[in-house]
Amino acid sequence: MKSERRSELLFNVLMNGVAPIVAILIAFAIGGIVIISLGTNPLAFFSRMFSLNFGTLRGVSQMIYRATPYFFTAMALSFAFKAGLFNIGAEGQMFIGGLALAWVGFTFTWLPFPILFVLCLIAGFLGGALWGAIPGYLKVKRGAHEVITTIMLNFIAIALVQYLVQNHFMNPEWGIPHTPSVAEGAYAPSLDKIIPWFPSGTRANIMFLVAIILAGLTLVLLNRTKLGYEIRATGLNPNSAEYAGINISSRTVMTMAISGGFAGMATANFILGPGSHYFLKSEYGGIGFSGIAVGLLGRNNPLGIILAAILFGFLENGALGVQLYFPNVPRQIVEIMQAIILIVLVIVLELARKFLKRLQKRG
Amino acid sequence: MAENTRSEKAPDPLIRMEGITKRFPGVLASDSVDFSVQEGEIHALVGENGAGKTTLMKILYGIYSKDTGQIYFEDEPVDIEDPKAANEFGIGMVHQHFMLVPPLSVVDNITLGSEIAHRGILDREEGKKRIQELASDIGFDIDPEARIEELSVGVRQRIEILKVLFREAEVLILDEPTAVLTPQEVESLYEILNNLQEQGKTIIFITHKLNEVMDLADRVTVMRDGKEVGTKEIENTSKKELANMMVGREVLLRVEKKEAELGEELIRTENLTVTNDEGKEIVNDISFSIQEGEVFGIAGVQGNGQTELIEALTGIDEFSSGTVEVQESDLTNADGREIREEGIGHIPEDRLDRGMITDFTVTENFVLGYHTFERYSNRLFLKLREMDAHAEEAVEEFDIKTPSIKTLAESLSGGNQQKLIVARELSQQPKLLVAAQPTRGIDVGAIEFVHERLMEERARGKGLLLVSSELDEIISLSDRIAVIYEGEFTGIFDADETSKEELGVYMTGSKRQDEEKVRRKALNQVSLRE
Amino acid sequence: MDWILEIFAVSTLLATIRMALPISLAALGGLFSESTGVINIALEGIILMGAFAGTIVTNATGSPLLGLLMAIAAGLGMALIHAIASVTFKANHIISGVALNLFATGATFFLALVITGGSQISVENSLPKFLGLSPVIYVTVAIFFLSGFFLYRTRLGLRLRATGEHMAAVDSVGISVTKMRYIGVLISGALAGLGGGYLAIEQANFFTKGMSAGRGYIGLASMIFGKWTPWGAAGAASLFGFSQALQFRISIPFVPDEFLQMLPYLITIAVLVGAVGRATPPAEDGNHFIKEG
Repeated sequence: MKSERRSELLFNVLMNGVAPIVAILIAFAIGGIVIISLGTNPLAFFSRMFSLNFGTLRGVSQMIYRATPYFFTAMALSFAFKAGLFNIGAEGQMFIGGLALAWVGFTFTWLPFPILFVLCLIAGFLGGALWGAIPGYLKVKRGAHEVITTIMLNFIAIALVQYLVQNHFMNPEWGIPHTPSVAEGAYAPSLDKIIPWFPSGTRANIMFLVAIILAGLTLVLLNRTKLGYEIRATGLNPNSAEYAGINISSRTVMTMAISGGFAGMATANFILGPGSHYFLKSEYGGIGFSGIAVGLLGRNNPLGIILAAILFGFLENGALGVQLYFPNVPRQIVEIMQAIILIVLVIVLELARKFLKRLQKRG
Repeated sequence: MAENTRSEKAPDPLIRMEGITKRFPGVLASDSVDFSVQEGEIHALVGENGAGKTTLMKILYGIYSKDTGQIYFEDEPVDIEDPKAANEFGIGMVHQHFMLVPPLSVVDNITLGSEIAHRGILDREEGKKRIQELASDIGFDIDPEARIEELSVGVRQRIEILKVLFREAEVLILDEPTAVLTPQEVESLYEILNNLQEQGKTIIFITHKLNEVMDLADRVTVMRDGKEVGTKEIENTSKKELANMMVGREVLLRVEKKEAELGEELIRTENLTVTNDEGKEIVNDISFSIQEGEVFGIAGVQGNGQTELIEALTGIDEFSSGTVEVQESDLTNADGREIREEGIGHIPEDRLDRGMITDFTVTENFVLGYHTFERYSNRLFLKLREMDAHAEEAVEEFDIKTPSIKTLAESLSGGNQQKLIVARELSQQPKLLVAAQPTRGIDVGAIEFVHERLMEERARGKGLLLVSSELDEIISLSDRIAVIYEGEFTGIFDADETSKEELGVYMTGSKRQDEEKVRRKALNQVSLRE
Repeated sequence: MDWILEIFAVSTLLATIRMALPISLAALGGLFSESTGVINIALEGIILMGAFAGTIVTNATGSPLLGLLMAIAAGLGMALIHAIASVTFKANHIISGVALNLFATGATFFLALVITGGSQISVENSLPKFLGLSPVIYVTVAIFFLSGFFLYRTRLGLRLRATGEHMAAVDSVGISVTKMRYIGVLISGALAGLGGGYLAIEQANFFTKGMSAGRGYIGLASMIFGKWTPWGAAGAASLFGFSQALQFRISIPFVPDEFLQMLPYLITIAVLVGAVGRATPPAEDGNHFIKEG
């Protein structure tokens, strides 16, 4: 009996602790080799990156700003995972949600803060939820696999958003297609307005706190509510869920909607936070796909995802800053590292699983 | 058959397996087993589910690697690492789950892996010719261009046999070949196997049906709990002896059953019909009623509509017509939640893929299906403390061996998992319990426990609908027994006055009682003796 | 009404063929991979890698032929990683594909910057045209004919298709499922890599970051719309190539360009939900082979 508890612990440590860390270390090692081949000292490179992020509160603040959207797109993947669904449509859900929240922000301009701000978030959630519910519905009603439909809906969303912005929301005189700016009532307060000792003038904003609150709420939802129980049951064993009288179809659609809703709020960080305050499609591309890596690296756990998102924010923010010091190393080095983290992670997880199985077999 | 009658220690067996041991995580599937086959015989390998028959044969066929032991072929020690090696020794296997590729044609399936090709380009015409020859050799006709998915199960099995013969196998292993066949298909399978024997082939077939053993085999080896119990010449044994060897627990099945004290009618169902996706009636016009304090057993070979009947009754599936009334309320096609709220519990036949969620904790499994009850949740939240308390209590009462209630159900033994399900359903104090195969694949101690509990419920005036393919279990627990065959009741019996043999006759559809009489007996409108 | 005439113009037909080519190679690649049950959404990244590698080698050697061979080799390399992760290490096929796409996006951009200092590299040579079209187009037509023959008439083709439908059956007759899957995935990488090489060297005459622009996914869409057959995939790729050709050449009244962009994806969803005939993917799509015992 004790050995069972020990093996459960070992499982958790290996799969949720060792595997992600090994993946990260290997990605840094490969990144380091690439940097050496460019004639740069990787230790100097990475330590500069580290001090840019953690050396000052300002750095931390910028890192948080970069990390925040990843949390949302990663949650989109991971929440769907809980119900056994593979939502790789965060990219499209993010665009639809983003346009929806921007629209509310520049349309209901007379509304004051925080009403407009909250309405914008709700609109973002609902836009993403709608875009997520479609593949859920198609799966339930017509058996269309959500992996393919979410991929296809990503591209449909991109084209749709482009069409709407260019033909309906845009002033033709602007060079780059973007929407009008949201009203002040929709602005997300920057973190220094809430946390007094935080440095001012960075873009880190309340959306980071919203992410942390949502992580907590998600844990409560999954583990303490009836709905969460049913979602997990559906994901772990649909046959048994059916036996238990759970309406699998409705849970599937609902899970996809909530999942899409998370992605729909991802761009609030950019649109409502300090900065341009309008929806600019080209600024967000890829965050949905990177969210897949973040979600898996966070082992599909909301708290793990916060850590993984911070790592991605660390890399991205560090890459932007470090260019001043090492101009011969393009900042895309971190994109390569992010991809390597993901691919190494899945391999290490399988190795860990095999190792545990062998251990179990030996008794 | 007579010429194969040799003494039990016949010299020169074709294949000899010695001391074969195979361990899976948590199970000793094969425990130092000895097994041998003579050339040209039909050898039955019998035992209950989980006795280790299939494991032993998969080792012989090279699918599993053995932990210890030695295989001899014609007295030479040999290594059979994979199915390819087995093929080289002339050993072929027809799996229980067919290894056929549904969208491909018969010829592509049979030749796959041993294709007839010139420089890599398939010669299908030659393949077709060879297949037709092989088929007519053992007495049947086949369309080599048909796609597998268009063919019936019986035909698919023949294709599996052809596939083995195409590889020039001399020894054929068949794993539960009749499990999926209709009686007519079983007949023609017998014919095919006899033809094969005449051609000098050696046949090993796995089964748990003793009739088949007596009909077909020259010798039989019985397995139980991963060990081989003994090998007998068919002429020197009987079904009864084999049955005792198989179960080895005759006494245990004698459950203490008190005189029934029947009360009010609990459930009344009329004209229940379930149709599958192709519009075929899987359950056809079944009616019955159960009274308080009564166990109504449904006996039958698996796959005759029992599962569908129960799943429609408990809200998982739907009836296409018919009515279900529980006392005053109409529960026809009610959903699982209404069914449970009305006081109907359900022990499903598939423990792991219906009855529980192995990645849930013991506590979470204890409310599966009942999580919406006021006791365990309010509108939004689960009442975790009440759930824990309930689990603690039930684990104690039902003596479930688990490190804690927070342990994942997957780390419990099979017997304890089943106890968990039984405990969950009984602790809700249902007035009617639907129990399907409640003791399948669990150890003797757990079987006894489950039987006792079910009988206690009966004594308390609860109703019980019991479905089991274990006739001993049905007879010893039930009051009335209905036999189901191809979705219909073919007979209703008083458990005290019937026998396994009698039920067996009705289970194969070779005899049936008058339809109207069956209906009235099942509805308790006339006494069983009429 | 000029736009109607334009639809039927020879130049539109030629543009359609040019547009359809990389899509059709990706579609055929996807088909080879999925015929063994391995989903390959890395096609997008493979095209990008092929385009980049082809560009660099063409410029370095002055030989577009060597460039195309390098594009194929790059495709094989990416496919090999996909096979190692998703077949040997049983990673989720989609996750492995996403990782490779992220990798290709980052790595090609990164290398372009390192090598040339910019994100766009022009290609100096291309193959001499034959009857006004790139020879790669004729080669591709031949590849389609060969693929049809290979998949349905040869021993290896049969084994590949059987693997995608029932791995245990294939294993039970002594064929290595792993080997079949590697073959399927590698062929898919070579084809999509060639598609990428064509895109940069023969069609665009330059490489630019992110130039695959969804072609890998449109290839997957073509494969599905074509119901997992080579000719179906070719037909679907042509249709989608046609809609791309139209976007660049004309504007049809009341039909926004964006709608034409959406078309392949909308059609794919329509096929998946059974609105335009049912398509059944290989039964083992996305599954892992776990050997018993």
